[in-house]
Amino acid sequence: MKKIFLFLISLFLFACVSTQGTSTHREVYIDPNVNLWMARQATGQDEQLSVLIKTAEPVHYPFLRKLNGSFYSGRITRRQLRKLIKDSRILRIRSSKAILHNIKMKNK
Amino acid sequence: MIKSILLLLAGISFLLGQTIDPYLQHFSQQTQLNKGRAVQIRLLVKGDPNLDHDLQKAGFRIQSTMGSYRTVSLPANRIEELARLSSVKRISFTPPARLLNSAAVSYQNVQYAYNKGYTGSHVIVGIVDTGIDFYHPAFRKQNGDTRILDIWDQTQGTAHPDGYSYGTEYTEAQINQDLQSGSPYSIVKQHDTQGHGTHVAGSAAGRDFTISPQDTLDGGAIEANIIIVKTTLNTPDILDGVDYIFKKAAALGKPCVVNLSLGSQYGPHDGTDDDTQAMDALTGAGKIVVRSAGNEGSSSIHYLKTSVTSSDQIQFGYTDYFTVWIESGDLVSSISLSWDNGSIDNVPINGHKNLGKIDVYLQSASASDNHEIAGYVFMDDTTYQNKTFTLTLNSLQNANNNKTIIRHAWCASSTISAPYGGFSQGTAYANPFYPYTLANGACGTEAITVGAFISRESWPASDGKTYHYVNAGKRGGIASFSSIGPTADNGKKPDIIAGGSIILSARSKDASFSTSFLPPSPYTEHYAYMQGTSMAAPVATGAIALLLDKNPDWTPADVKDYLFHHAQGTHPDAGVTTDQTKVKDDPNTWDRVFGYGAIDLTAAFDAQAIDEGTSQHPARFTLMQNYPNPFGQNAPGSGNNSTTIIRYTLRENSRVELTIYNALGQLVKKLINAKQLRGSYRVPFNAHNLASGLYYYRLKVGSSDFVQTRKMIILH
Repeated sequence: MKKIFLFLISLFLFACVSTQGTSTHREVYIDPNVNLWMARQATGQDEQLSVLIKTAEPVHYPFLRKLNGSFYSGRITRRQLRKLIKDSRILRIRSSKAILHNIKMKNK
Repeated sequence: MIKSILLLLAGISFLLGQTIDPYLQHFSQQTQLNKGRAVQIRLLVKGDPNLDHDLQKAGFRIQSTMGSYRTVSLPANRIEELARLSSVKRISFTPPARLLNSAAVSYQNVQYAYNKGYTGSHVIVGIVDTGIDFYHPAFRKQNGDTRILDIWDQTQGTAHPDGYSYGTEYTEAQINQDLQSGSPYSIVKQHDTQGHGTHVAGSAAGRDFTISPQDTLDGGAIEANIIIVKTTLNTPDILDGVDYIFKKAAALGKPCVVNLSLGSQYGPHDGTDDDTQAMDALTGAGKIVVRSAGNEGSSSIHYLKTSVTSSDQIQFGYTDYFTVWIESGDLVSSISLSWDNGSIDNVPINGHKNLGKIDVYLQSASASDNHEIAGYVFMDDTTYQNKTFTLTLNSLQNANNNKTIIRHAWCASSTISAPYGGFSQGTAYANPFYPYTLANGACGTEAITVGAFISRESWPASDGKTYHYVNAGKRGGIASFSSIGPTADNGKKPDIIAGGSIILSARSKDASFSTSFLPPSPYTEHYAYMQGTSMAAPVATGAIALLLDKNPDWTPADVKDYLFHHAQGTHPDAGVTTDQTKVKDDPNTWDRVFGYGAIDLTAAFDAQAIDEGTSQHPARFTLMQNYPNPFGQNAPGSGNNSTTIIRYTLRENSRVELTIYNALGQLVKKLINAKQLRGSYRVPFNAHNLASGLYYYRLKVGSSDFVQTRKMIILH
């Protein structure tokens, strides 16, 4: 009886330990543009990057503004980006840049 | 001398029973013959069966053949000789294109909206672009006050708009204060140094009260209020800009259309990426986003292969970025990048490697909503500019067992090496029209994506010269730069087209332009020529604003439903092709170059378009003879009017198709394709953009076997 009790206790503890690391973990997908900014351009602490964030559930950060649905936009520093990367509610962090769609005129 | 030539022309005309176009006589009198110069002109000549023989014998060069019509290019001083040919029955000379923006804007029949009082006055036109020259007269009321409600300059300042943490907002009151201050830019410190945003805003909503006649350079929504966002071009900031404009419009209780003449090739091009989905989510009833298709229609920026193979190699030149997308369900183990003296090998799923400032990433399928594995290359070292790179997809697997491994790739600029993937470009369009070249954001479901057709082939400039567009096709053909659909998942984009070549619109005084791209006096100071799908999109935006003026609750789907079912072709000689151009000849049918065709507002604003006279109860299906007939600018009794009325009756509620065909049996226009109630109907048909000749109109009633065809004659 004692052995069965100990076995059940150890089984419970094992289950607790083994699920602890994965129960809330979700991978945050970071756009390569964001990674590149981190690696190359964000030299100063105050330098900011415009990002679009997709989340699995509502989040509240003073530097993010809810755009619509599950999307948030904001200008963030490296430090703030690191904080977001650790947040399991964040699904994706993107950044990209557009160009103008006029074209150089060639005459003759 | 002049009189004698005119008398001679008139005499020849009289004796031979010819008609010489009055404009040609005017032209002869006023200009070329007067000066005795051999200026080359192009005429439309109608003749009998001996026409070709006589023209060739006399040494005239025939350009195009259309039934009994020929276009002939000749020196102005040979008109008299042409007129003497006995086989020539009529000589027409179309006045050169006027110096108008509205060559593109008015093509959409915006006048029908104006005639009914819809000028955009209850609509907000939003422009997210490079800013605006708010001193420009096109954006000021007749009393000199601004038409701009707000400017958000995202690029500088600390007076942020409510809810946003960057840039500076300037209100209508501040803009007016600045305009009246005598000290320009002392209050509103915003300039458009590139000139792009000012030009775009002019096409969408400009109206200049300082020029005469006032409609000479109008944009579409001539009385709309305008909200400007001067953007950083970062995509999240662009999204903020659209959100800002829609919120401002909502606070005013007005519908709004936002123009985005910008984009990139970064993304999966199927509307599933976050940037595009977030933009789609901003739209809704009375909230429309219009996007330029992109300018890569002639650029080798895209690669496609579908074959099942164990590896693939894609060659390309130096580019800021390159992305490759592997069909959902299929697998690749790693990617490698190599060049003549270096390589980055075996970057695994969710891995990243770099060599100097060349970076390679491979993201798993779960990183994207389209569930495709995506590879990325970034280059930030111009010492590599002349190198050729090879990206290898290692251990490809057709894991979904569908016998294809579809792999699309895009570069930031035109660097994909020939041959152009393994993709057949089809037969309809010759090189260099490349499919799948739409900008990524232009592939969004809710965006109204606008390509560009050639609306002007040559232009007079401030230096006194007339310039010609290099490699132009025909007016009405697709502009060579206009990006081509479909989307990566074969969605139908672009949606529509608008004039986009050599558009004359508002010039920012803070931007520099070459004299050859400025118009002659008196327009030089305030106007400039630009081109691109950037310029086509606002032409469409102005027209869509007029639709919203009448239908403020229309969703993007409603707007598209109207545009798609009432599109028009883009050339009077529909069906004519040249080496690089296929003219849109089948409105209401989508294709990857022209979308559904050009906007035509006629049906939306002509109150008589559908007269649902259900008080009458016709006993039969009937199609009556159109009236007047013949009709057109030269038809007797038409009063210089290109519109005729087609009447028919329905004895029961039916699906109705009313269609116009030319003498060759080619579809010209679908006037009606809708369910209609029992009753009598009157449908105006405007043929201003069709050539003279015999046409047919056919009524087909879906609920019965009733099909009837009648003839009509257009005389211009």
